[in-house]
Amino acid sequence: MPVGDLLPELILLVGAVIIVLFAAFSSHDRQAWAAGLALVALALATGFSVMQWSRAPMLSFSGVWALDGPAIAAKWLMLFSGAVTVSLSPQWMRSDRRHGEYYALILFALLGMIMMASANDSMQLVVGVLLSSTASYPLVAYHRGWAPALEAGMKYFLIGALTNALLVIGVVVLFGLVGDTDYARTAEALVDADPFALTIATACIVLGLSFKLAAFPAHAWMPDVAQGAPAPVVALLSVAPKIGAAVALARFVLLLPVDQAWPAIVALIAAVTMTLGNLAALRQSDVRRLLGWSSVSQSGYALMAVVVIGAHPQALRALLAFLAAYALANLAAFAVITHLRGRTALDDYRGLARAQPIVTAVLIVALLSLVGIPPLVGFFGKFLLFEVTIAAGYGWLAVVAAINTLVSLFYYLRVIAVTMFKAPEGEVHVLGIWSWLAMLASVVVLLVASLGVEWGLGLMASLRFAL
Amino acid sequence: MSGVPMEHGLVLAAILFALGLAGLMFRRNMIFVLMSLEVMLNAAGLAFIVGGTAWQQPEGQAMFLLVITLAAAEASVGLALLIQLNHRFKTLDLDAASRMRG
Amino acid sequence: MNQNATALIAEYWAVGLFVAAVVTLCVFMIGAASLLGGRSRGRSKSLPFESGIIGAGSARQRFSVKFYLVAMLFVIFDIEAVFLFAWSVAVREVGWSGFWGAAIFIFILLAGLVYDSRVGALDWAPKRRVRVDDSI
Repeated sequence: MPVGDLLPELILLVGAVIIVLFAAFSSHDRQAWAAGLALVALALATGFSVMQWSRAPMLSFSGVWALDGPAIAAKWLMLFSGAVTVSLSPQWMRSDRRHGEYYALILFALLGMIMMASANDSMQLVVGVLLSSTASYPLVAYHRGWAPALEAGMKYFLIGALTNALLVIGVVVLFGLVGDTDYARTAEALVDADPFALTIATACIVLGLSFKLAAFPAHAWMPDVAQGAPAPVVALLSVAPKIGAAVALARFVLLLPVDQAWPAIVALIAAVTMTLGNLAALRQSDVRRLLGWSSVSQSGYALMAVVVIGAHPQALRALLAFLAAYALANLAAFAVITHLRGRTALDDYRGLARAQPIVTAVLIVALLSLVGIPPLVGFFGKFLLFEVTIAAGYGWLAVVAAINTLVSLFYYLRVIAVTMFKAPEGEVHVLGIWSWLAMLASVVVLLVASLGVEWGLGLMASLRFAL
Repeated sequence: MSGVPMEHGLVLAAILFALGLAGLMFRRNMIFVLMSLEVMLNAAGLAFIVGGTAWQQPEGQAMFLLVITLAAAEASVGLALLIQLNHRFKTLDLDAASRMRG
Repeated sequence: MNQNATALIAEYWAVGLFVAAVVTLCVFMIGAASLLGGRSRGRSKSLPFESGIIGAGSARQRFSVKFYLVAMLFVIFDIEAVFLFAWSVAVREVGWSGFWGAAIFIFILLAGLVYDSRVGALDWAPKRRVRVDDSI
């Protein structure tokens, strides 16, 4: 049994178990030490996955576990977002008398998301999706005494449970068609499968993954979670599940026979998702909710790359580059919000530039990168997306996305304008040194990624799924 | 499989799933919603068993074990949320806990 | 079809007779008692009672919500045991690697159990709630 291929995941698992035990036996004022344990586990997992990078793309455990470039790159992004979340958390959770388990839940959720990205077997995919969902519901409702957190957790749970059940049904139908859950054998057997049943299976699986992506039909949880959940948790949940689900979806749609209509369906979902997210974000007067809707629209952009994943050789690179850019920018934005103690009404951001210049600068960089302003890494992600979409013949989708980007410029600039040009009101309370460092780390990585984008894209150019 | 044809198992799974879906859509009481979820997931598990038997593959049964485990985990999280909902809003009606809009 | 039915009846007539006899006996006992016995009515006579004491309160009691936790823990640990059954039928084939896998699995479950007992999820008697905080 090639246990070495699973080392990063095993470390996350063992780390989570150790944290659970630590939380059970340590006093209330030491609960925050669990954050240190979680960071150690994340660092070790990242180190071992770096060691996996140099090997050739391969399938492990008789074909169910993919160890290829996309999976490892996604793993790094998810582990980084986990690390940012963990370092944002101790001071945010200070008032909670026991929060050691919180870090274990984060590690379990990350484990599920990593499983999604690496799954080369529909059984593995189901387990990954359900593990990450089940660990995320309590995270969202962690402030159980606060009604909005509870409501957000409730909605997240209901939408999640429904779409997860649909995902399981999709996998059942696929299994019934093929008689196997392994992707390689599925792809062989699907060539002459019954098209009607295959359409049902595809629709259910896409629907199930759209929940993790926060894409249209199952996007409704994102703004509520952004508003109600603890801010560090939002930083995690608006980023990491999307990376896992996008890679999983790209891996899955490549199995489908070419005569299926899935690109049209995914393109439609992408267009609706980005438009809906942007239109809803326009009306928001609450920054966290606004970023939640913006995160929905960004999922729509990411789906553009999935549409052309089989039609253009560089689509995978565009997808990963866009996801990386989005992840870094969104993490920085939510790190700022966490550092500002989760202040959420747009009016509270008045004159922030004068009171907290560095924090405001980080926020502005993050928002501009989310729009895709040229020197920042967000631009390259979006540029590659447009390039592959147009080259593969989906010009209309690129036009929709371009219009949406223009619309999104308006609401991102509105937040920036409020911080810059209004007179300050009252005192600005910030969280503490840990959230400050996490915020700085995320923005530094964002800037470094912007500077080193040429090198990074060169590294990504050769990425392929292992088949 | 002695006696029971595959179609019967699949039809039963489809009926159970439809019942669960209908319950999830139309009931507003959280307890019934959780029960409907459980019914849906078990319908999927039944379909896995039937499919696995039809193909003579052990995956069907392995998957069934995973599905019931995940269903139990999901149900326990759902019940914990339900209890908090009852503490906070003094009701099990889901519409009571729907204040965030837009 | 007809032959099948005949065979079925031939096979199960004794069961049918037994069911019919039971129903007849019940109907006879209740019917005869209500026809032959005398009746008297009174205020206290229609009250339900238990060992001579009139019952207090409703049968629909509220249970402490703590029991939900016990039930849920039971269900979860019960279902985890299913994986060990799967291991046990293949114990020779999977060999030592399977053994270590199962050992790690049990260790994780054990960690969960230790955690549950430390946070007080397992003691449901109210007086022992020394260490317990609001863990659900």
